[in-house]
Amino acid sequence: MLKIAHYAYLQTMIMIFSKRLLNYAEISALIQQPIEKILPTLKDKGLDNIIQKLTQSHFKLLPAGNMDNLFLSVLLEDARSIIRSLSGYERDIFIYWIRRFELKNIKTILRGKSLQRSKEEVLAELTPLGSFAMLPVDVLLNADNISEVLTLLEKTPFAAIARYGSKSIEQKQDVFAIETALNRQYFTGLNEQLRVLSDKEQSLLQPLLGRIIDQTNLIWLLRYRLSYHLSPSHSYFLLVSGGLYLNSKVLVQLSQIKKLDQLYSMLPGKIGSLIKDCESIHQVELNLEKDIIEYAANMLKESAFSLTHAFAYLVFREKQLLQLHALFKGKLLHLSDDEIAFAIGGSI
Amino acid sequence: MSLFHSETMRYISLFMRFDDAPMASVILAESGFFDPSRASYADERLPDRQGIAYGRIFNNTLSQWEKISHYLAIEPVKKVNKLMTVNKHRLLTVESRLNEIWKICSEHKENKRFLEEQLNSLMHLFSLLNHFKDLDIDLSMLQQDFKFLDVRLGIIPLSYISRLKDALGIEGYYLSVYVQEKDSAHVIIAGIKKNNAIQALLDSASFQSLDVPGEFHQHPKIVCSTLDEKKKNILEKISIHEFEWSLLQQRFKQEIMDSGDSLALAKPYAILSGKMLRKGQLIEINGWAPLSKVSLIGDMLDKHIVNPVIIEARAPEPEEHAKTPSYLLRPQWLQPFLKLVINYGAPGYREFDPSWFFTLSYVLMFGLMFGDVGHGACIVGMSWFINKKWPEYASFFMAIGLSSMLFGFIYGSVFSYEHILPGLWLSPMEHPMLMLKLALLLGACFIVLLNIISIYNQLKNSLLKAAIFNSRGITGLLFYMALLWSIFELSREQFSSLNLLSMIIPLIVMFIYQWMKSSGSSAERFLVSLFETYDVIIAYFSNTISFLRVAAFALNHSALAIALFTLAATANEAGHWAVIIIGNLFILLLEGAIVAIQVLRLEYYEGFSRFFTADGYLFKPMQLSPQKLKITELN
Repeated sequence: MLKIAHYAYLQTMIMIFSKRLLNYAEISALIQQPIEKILPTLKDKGLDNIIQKLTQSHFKLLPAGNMDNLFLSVLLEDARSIIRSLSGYERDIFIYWIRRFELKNIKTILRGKSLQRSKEEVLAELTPLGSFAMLPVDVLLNADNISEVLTLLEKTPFAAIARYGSKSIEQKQDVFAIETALNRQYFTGLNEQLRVLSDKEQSLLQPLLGRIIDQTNLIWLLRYRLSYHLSPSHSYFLLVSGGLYLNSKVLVQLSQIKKLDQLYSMLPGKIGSLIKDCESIHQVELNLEKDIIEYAANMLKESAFSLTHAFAYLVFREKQLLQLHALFKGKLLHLSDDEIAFAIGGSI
Repeated sequence: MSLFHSETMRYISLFMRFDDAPMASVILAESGFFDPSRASYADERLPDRQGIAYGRIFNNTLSQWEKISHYLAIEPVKKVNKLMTVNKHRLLTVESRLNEIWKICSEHKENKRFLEEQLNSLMHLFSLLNHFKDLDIDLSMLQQDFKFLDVRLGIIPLSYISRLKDALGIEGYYLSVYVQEKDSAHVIIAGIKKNNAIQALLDSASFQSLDVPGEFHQHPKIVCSTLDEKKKNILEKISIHEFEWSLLQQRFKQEIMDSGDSLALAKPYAILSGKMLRKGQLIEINGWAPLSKVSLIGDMLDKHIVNPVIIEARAPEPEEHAKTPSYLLRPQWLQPFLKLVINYGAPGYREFDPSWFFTLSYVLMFGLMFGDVGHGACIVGMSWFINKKWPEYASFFMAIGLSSMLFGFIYGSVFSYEHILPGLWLSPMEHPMLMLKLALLLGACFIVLLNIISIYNQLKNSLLKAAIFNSRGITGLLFYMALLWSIFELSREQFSSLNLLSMIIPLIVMFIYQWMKSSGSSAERFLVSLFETYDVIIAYFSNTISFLRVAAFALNHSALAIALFTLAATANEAGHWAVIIIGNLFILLLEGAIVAIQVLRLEYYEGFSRFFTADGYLFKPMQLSPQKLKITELN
């Protein structure tokens, strides 16, 4: 009873927000429409700012960064509303989840330092996070080199993550190694954050988070092995734990892969059937993404409300915004409906 | 000086020759009464932006200066020596000199880090050697280069062990941990020698190879004495390095102080150059200043600038009130209380400044909750010590100490003894119900008063509808009065339908107002209005109940005293006094701190959140001080 009262406001908000989400059929139906007709149908989906900007620009493509930031700001606005209704560790978990975008900014700064790019150039590429921003961007941009950036990060909430851009990597100034270390440490930190949830909440959240980690792991693994040609052991090491279907044992086997078509026979159960017939890494990514969206959508339909509903909403909303972003961009670039459908993982 | 509001502010526009702008910036900062933040510029009057190049150079120079002064531990002085301008060329010269100095310091810093790392790895070796010290063998036997076997010793982060073990397994290698520390582990990795296949993997795992050093190629005892010798050498180098650091400090101290002066003098122009507008030789600077200081600013500019400077000063327009800074000129003794108010948020320019109200209610409630002549006297005594170290906080302790003493006399409590001093009125423990009623009455008065202030604030900000209809307006106040009346009648068992009606009517008005205000679909608006109205009932009720803690803590204080004396009674005579003294200290420090926090909580959550929007900006004039060089707002 107490728990229900505790989440009453959040539950109402998620219920209202969920109406903004579209299913695959609805998205697919939009693909065949011209952009002028798509926008009015999305009016009550919390995309007013984007619609306004696109209408003002007479349906011309906005600069790449602007478009990305517009979509991100929609997600951040939703996240802000959810976080506002939470307190304590629940709030911390959601803030940590959103902190992924700051991790991206850290990587941009590190890459900028490595390539000795100017402060202004790097600054222009950073994602504005508004009130979620925790990084002292100015100070980091003023740092002389990567080592100084990592040292400065130790005074921020990213200290634990930065510490793992450890000494040996730092000395070699290998940005790729630092970035993979940051990713790994981020997910380790996320698992630690979730440990404070009740067993029931953890078990509700695990299938969704596990799917996200599976997707991340599988895509990285395929890239490491097939695109960067890293050794099996190295590829395996760079992955993170906590997946749903892909446990350590499976990942060890998968790391031996040499061609994409070997993948299907090696994957267990459902995840194998999900990526059957995929001909590219991108297609694998889209199929797994589709599964995550479907799972998040099912979670939102569950009758007993819990914190995981809010998490499922955020995941669903983020993936959906990516799809809409691809749809808008495709339309503005006058790509064919088939190409757009492929890009968003839908069908006409 | 206005007691309940900000000082009257004026929006100042200064027009002058472009060449005079740097000096004018310095003078404005020296006056200490000019705040250029949140000033707006009408581009049509003077169309050209002055540019932000100077500001950028300033920021870069400041960044270097901060690094150096921090590294060399040089404390800048409070005031600059002489009023003068720092032009772009001079600033660039300072920057280039600071770059040179930082190069030297940075090299020195790197050397220090190198030496510290050497020492750390040596200490690592010592701890590593601990694990071999009992072995009576030549350690070189452990590091032979085998023909078919690849053996490596090293350190990895603890969290990587499991994954690295699995990853190495793929390559047919075996990993074993032989020393585990807090965050890292010493490991031996062994496998069949291949073409260095695992090197990239080990790099990713932050593997720090312990290619067993030369010192380990002997018997542990010999290794130990060699390491001792090395440690001695490194420590000597570190002490030489420290001496060199003091030489560097002496060598650059004056230059850094002078650069600090230059930066302090450059800062005003760095702030203003990015904002000011220009047309030809004419330049415009805008900002805020207290009405009473406008003529002072004019006089100072006239004194230092030969060419004419035109000053336009006008009252802020109503639409500018939100960005007009609040200048709260309060007596020195009120400053600690003001700091606590600002900690919640700065009052808006037209808003009621609650610092007086906060001070009186805080002091009153603290005394009520922690009334004890002895403890109060200790807090007053404490304020004497605090005055020496943190003079700005002394008045806070003095005020709450005196209040505690006053209520101590009323309750008849001194150092937890309730029967030494005859109480002037009542003892909380003997009249608990009366205390609870008084606390509720205090809470009700507190909330009514705050609602009136809230109505005043809304009217001042021309929010007429809100002042009448919202939960913090007249309707909200009427509802609360009706609620209090109903509770009173209920306690007399004379609750009537009139009571019910008096509560329902304001609630309906608030519901309709909320409905009109909200947007979205009808269902959404209904839900929002319903929740908001429901929240008003809960909030008023819970806010009032919250004040029970005032009585609860007064009772708690007496209850702790009883517990203390019960405990003391079980001890012998020496123990008795020890318990009394330690117990009183415990009450003074722990309960005193808890009461201070609880009162603050009451003020913030039951008080400020009801009427205080706290969305104002404090008046922050530019200053000429090498101690305050950071620009927080540079457009």
